[in-house]
Amino acid sequence: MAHSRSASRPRSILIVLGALVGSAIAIWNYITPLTGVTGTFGAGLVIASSILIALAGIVIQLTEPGAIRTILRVLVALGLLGTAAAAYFLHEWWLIAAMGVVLIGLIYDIASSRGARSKGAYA
Amino acid sequence: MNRKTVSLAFALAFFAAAGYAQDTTATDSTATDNTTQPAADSGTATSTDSSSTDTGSTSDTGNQSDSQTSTDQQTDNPAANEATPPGPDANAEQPKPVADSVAQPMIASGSRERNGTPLVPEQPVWNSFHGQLSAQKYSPLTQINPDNVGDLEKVWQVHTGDVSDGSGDKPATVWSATPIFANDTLYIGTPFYRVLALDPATGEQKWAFDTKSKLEALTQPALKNRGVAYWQAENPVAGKVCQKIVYIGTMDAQLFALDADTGKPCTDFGDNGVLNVDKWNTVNDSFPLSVLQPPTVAGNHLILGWAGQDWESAEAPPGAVFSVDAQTGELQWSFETLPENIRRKTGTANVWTAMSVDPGLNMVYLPVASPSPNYWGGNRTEQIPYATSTTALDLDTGKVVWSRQWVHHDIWDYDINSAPTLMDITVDGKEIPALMQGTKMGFLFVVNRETGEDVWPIEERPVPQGDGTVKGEVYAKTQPFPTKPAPLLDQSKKPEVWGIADLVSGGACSELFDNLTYEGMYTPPTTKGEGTLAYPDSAGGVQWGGVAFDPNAQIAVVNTSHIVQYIKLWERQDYEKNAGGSGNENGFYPQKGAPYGMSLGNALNSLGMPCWKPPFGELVAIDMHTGDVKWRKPLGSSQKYGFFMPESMGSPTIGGPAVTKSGLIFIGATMDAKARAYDIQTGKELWSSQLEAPVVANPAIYEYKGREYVAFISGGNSILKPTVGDLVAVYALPEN
Repeated sequence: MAHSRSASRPRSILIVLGALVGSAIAIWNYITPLTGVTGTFGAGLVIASSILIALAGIVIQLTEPGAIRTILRVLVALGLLGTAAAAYFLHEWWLIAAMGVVLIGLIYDIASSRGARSKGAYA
Repeated sequence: MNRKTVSLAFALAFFAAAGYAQDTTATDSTATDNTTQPAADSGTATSTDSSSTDTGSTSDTGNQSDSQTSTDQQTDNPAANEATPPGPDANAEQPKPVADSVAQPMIASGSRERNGTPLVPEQPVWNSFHGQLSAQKYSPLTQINPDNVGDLEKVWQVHTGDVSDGSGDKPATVWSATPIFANDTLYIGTPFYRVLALDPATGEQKWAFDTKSKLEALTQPALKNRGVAYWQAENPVAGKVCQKIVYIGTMDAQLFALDADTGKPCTDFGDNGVLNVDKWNTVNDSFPLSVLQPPTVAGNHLILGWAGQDWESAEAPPGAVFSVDAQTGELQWSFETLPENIRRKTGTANVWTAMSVDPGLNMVYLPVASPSPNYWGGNRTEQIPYATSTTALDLDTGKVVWSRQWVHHDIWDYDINSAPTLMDITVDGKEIPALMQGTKMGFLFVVNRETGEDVWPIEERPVPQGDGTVKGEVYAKTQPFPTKPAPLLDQSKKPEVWGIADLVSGGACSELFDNLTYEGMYTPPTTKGEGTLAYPDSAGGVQWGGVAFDPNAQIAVVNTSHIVQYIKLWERQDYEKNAGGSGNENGFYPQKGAPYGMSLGNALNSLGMPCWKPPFGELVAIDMHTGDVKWRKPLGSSQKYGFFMPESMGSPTIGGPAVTKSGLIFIGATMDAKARAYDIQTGKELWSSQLEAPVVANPAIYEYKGREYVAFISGGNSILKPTVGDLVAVYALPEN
């Protein structure tokens, strides 16, 4: 089945990887002395948002095509934009780069799903 | 991103943030880290900083027993023993009418001849709170310059361990100490009232002394310290101890003298090394005379001011400045700021910040605070010429040489809060021994320091006369306005509402501003509506960091804050019903003994965003040949919840600059807890380093064994944000 092949491919791996790297960066900024945001609410917020994006990426990988996957992708898009914006104001520049990876991953996920569906349709 | 986009995004970030997490104190692994004491405890006391005014609402637990004892010591008690000379100058007892006394300086004993002592020391000196007695904060060192300052690296740091965020059993700490370099040692006072003597090259501890002072909020809601003072004998006696002395004062009015080499108490000083300053506290002695500012050391004089609680009561100890012998602590003279006939019904007009000294003229210059209570003056309608003034005294006698009052009948808490900066300037080809006094109002008054006469005209201009709602007041008809330099912030019109803050608050900012009384600068406090809009406010303008001065380039440098507050007076019954807590330059204060309590608030929206347009703070350079602004730029970045606002908006600032002959400005002072260096000619930022809490003191610049160092104390002050720190960070160029 087309969606089975799709589910077995690591479509959302860049989302998960980008988000995990982002959360690691955020944690480092939160706990490391003299980052300028050590222990702050804002630094904690981007830890949470990065982890949520990673979880969403995993769930996207596991879900069937449909409304839930679409909603999760929208949430990932909003999450990465919000996290990148927060990172900008926290001066966490590497976190912005990590969110860039998530964005690439999201585009890849959507593109590869469409490709899989197209192949499935003609198979 | 353009500015509007950034601003909007920041506003959205505020929306995203639903709570507040306080920054933590921290250590840095990148440099030698010498922790001199285990991490400090935490405490339970709610603690909010009293404010830039060094006054505040706290427990009213004055040192009564000491005061009672002191009443028997008439010879040591000038306040109680009026017949004993030296006393206050005659002008204090017979003040002139406002128009006469302030349009021109009140000159009592004329000017003095300089004796050849250079205003700018020939050698690099950083042995007092403002670097030098002139308060220039100037170093003639040139090793670190605009070309290489970007290479600065942290060469050592020390966590003192003396820090509290107020969540445990101690009040929060507010650490505004400038390190001093003397005797080949860096001396530092901590807000737990300990003295550390550190190796200037490594931070290794040479000795430490604990005063074991009460860590209680006796006069301030926070544990405050602004460092230590240093004295050394002109002709030291070989083999005798205490030929070099370090002094530290405490909240409970004790002044300790320690041998600078060993840290052991100097037993000839006071009572076995401790002088009980509170023995001179005999009039309205409702609180101790806290010695939070290190004494000013001039020759063998220690000049002492003190801090108190002028928000708490109408009656308070009257402002007095004491000169004591540096080696024995014996009283040499005292100076009273309040006329004798009103001392029992008002108080303060004290000197709680640093003073400056011109040894050549043999004069000490006092920045005098406002009388009590801060926001109602019906108990003190008589003229008080020395209140909110710069007053020059003869160093040997304490007699007034001249005095200029900068706010008449001060009901805005516009304490003069920094040492005037002494500078020799050339204006229109004429050399002038000048003095520049920065103020909370954002004015820079420049006068001849020999005579107190204007350098550029200072005009008496009519000011608002109130709305008639406040009983007992007699407002000053005019206030002094300098014609040059230009005000550091624009007080000529009502501050504009910041559109973004207004938008995200649903118009609450506009509504607040509409409900505030405002008739221009010096609008008196009112009982109406939300109160009176205060701009500049008591936390704004220039703070105790004062003005730095490069004598070669003749450039003055000063940082400023732009903050809008509002003041309301409450009839006593209404006050009792409505009063809430007091806090950091805001909240309710009873003004006991006055018919009104008061409240003071920052004009923020419900998200904590300022309702007024940025910038919130700036760094300004002034060409002292002309009095014109050379350049000005927003300073630092405001920060909340960890989010940094764009630097174009600047930050409120506390702490001051230091300048070098090589053309650099070093400054902390901002909410973002960074140390920065700027080019003095252009204002271009050349270097920055992240620290753990705002640097709310001036940096120190010194040379040791051929290497130039810059030292910052990262201690924090809850006026800026709740983050506190215990970090001493020292920078130098790489050795290669």
